Amino acid sequence: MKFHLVVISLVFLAVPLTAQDALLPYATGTVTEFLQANKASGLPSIVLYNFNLDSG
Amino acid sequence: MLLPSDELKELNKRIPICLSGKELPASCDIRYGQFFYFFTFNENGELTDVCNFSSELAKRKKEGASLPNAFVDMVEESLTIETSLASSERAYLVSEGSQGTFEQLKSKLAELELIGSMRVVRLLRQNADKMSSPALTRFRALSLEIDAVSKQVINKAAIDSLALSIEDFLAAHPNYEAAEELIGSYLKVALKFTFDVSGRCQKVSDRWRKFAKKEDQRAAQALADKLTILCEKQLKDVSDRIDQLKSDKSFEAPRLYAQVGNAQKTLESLDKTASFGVMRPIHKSWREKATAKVRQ
Repeated sequence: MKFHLVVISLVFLAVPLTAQDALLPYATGTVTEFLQANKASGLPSIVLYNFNLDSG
Repeated sequence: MLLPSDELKELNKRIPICLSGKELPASCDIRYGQFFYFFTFNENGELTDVCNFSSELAKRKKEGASLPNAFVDMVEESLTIETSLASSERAYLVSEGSQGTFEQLKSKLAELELIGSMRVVRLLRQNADKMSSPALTRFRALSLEIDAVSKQVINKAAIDSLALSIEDFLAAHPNYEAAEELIGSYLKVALKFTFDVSGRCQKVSDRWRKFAKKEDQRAAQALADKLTILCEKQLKDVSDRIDQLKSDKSFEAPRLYAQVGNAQKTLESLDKTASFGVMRPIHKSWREKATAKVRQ
């Protein structure tokens, strides 16, 4: 019974997080990795300095 | 602003956008860390554009754009810039330091609001010996460093480093045509936050005289004398400003007392004024030096 409650709670927690990730049109991770990935794909990059999802 | 609008989602399908937090990209330096900056990199990962994000958005909003559209327009316009800082750096190195490519490099830095200056300074110094005039390239690096420290970078390490850069350059080139101009920048920019400017100048001029090469001794002597004269003039100006202070609680008071090396007044004025942000390490250094002087 307790196990089921934990699983249900985790699913409910995970759904909004996943939904938020899908909605936000921003890359996550370090700037260096972001730039390297775009360079490898031949894409330009925009970096917004001083922004994070909490402060913005 | 960061809430995803339809315009932003559409834009992001073509252009990847990253929120950096406090992480500065491309070995850049930044003075106004509290502001939001917008960086653009081309498909080769090279920096092409930097601007103050808030000011640019506000300007476009005043012209009637909605916030999401203002941002999209900013990105679109920025992506049309073809020159990168790296391409300007390469052009300078390939030309072995021509005047034309140096002017282009300076223009590019101005376009980037001087962000990236210190990275260029390091590059010029690392490659100076390969340029047609190593001394000129070192002087250019120094002039960019002075500009960056006076306008873009503010931290104790950068200011201390600039003082050493100027001292070393003048020790190696006492005959340099811009030597007097450099002494001016040394006193006004590099020693602006130094405790006991006169003591520092005395030590530096002694070193120039003592360690000059035989063929440079006359020039080093003249340079040391010039430093002493300009230092006295600078400190006279500082003393005049102290006389004009309305209160020791004035924000400028600790710096002025520190510059003239008045240990007791430095400590007293530090106790009466607030220390914050970038000034904390500078105030800490003044306190240590003033305390040591009082105990002597």
